[in-house]
Amino acid sequence: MAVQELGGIAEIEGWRPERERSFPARFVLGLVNFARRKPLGFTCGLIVLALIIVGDLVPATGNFLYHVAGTPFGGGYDSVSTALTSAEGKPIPYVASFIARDRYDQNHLRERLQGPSSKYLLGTDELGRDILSRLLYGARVSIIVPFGAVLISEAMAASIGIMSAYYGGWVDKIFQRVVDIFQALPGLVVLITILGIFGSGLWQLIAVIGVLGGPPGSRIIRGQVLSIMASPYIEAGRVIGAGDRRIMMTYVLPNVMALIILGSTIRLGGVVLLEASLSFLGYGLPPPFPSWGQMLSLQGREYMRSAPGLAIYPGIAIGIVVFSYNLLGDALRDVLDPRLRGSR
Amino acid sequence: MQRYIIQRLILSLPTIIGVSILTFVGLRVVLPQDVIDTIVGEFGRNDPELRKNLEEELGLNASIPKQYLTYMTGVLQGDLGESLHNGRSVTSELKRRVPISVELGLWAQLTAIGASVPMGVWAAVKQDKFPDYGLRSLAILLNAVPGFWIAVLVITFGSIWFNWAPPIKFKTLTEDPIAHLKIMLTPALIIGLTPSGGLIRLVRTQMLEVLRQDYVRTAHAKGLSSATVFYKHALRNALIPVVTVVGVGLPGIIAGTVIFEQIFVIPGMGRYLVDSVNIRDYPVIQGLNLVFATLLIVSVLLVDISYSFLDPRIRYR
Repeated sequence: MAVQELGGIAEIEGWRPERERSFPARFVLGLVNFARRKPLGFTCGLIVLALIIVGDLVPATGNFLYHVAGTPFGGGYDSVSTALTSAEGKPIPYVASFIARDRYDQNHLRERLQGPSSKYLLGTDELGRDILSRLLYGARVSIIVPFGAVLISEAMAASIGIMSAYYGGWVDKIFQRVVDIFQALPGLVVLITILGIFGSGLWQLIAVIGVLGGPPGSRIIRGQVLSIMASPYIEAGRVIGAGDRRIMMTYVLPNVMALIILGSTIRLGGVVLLEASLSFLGYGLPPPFPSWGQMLSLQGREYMRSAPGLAIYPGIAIGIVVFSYNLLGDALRDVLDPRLRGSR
Repeated sequence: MQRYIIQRLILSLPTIIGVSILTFVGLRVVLPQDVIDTIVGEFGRNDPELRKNLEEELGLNASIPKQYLTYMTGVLQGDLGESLHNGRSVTSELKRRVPISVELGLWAQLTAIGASVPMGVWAAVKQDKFPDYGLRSLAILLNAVPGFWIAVLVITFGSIWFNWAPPIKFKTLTEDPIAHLKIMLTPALIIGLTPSGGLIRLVRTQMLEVLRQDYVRTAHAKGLSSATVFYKHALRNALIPVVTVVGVGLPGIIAGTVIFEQIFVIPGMGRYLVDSVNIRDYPVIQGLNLVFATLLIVSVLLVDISYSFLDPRIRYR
């Protein structure tokens, strides 16, 4: 009754409730706002986007899903593991194979160790392979490994953090001891051990880096959840009879989502560096598939003297990627987390 | 104070035990190939007698918990087992190699702190002027560039421009101190670069925070020279949180030593690790993982304790 009256008055005054903007509009507005406040972070976001396209994350994910869906009983395991490293005959075409001049393992033995020319924009390596093409294909590793590993570690961090803080008591104690142990592991040493003994590959890299990074990242989420648990809406949820899972999934998780996104963007750069170090030491993807770290590795050291480009370009590529991830993470942190604003 | 240290020591014990269980399970139970097969090779694979003898000799026929207890008793007595490859005792090999790696790590840490503190202070003092922008860009750059790439560049262009190559023959500190320091210098400088990116930023923000405090204004007002104010009044307080970041950066330093021992051919633990992983020398790998983790735990503990020395507020938590 009262509401209707109010509506009547509003109509008389010519006032209309502001229409809720549609989701795409809000999204675009948010992006414009972000670009205006953090131009550098926005530029880095664009670079990351460009790398995601060049690094074939979208077709790779699509092809992976296609393969998983197409062979549900493990018959196509081999094709799954080659889904990311080969470029042909896939339902969704890869971008890198269109831009790059050659395939990554295409060699021209008569034109080895050349300098930059109009034919090979960045020159060729010791087997006469086009460096630019190899860099473009190598972007795939520097995109897919960090995104995959961070997906795994953030999923682990979120579940450990939320469960640990939600249940408390002995669950919390056990989880925290496990986190302690993981925090005490020297990352690279453990990675070398595991990948060296069990063999390396794309999936192993993603899984091991992801799992090792998960528990230590749960600390910050646990802290946040502890403070959320004290807030009245959790109690309200309990009162209306929500179960544990419902409270964790619909009351707690959305409130730590910003923290999870932040944690993942900040971690991306570190994973790229870790992957590069592993490939550099020879525990990355098996050759001939190029990874930027492996292109710098010690085997090619004698050739670097005659063709210094071999030593320069992959490093610059790693630098640009890590730089973009880091600055994007910083900018997102400043925008999303008001507590940390200006603490740079 | 003593109570705090004892408390921290007791808390780190379960962690070390957990790490030992993890390395034991990882390297004894879930191996992709049998240890015996690795030892006997192709020829003895079908000889059950030999296999049985070896299992008994290595104590592999006992139950897993019993094997763990035997192993840990050995570890506590300073016996990490023997290499499968050449039968040498892991402990004696480590005695030679641990000091080298620890020294390299210390030099790297010293480089990082020694380079980043003055730079951070300078950036804070010249806030929003050219040096500040330059140093902040440098810090972001250092964070983004992998250390081993800098090493590759140094080696490549060192040999192209100056005909310089890193020394290959290793000398210990007691043998030839000057040659030893020459070998350690380049890798230590480059390992220290990576953590100093974050440190410069941290020192700068901490300095800015402290410089805004009242007591700094008082110090200025009573006519002290600005150098005294910056270094005696402000820097001391600004450095306290920096200590924690040094603790956080330790795994990075360890990773740095592992990589740089490969590049600069330094016979430390990292080189031992890579060599033994490549030939699947399981007892060595197991011992090394344990020692690396223990070193990390102990150094984080030391950093925390020194933090509580510097900042008395910590002890009363």
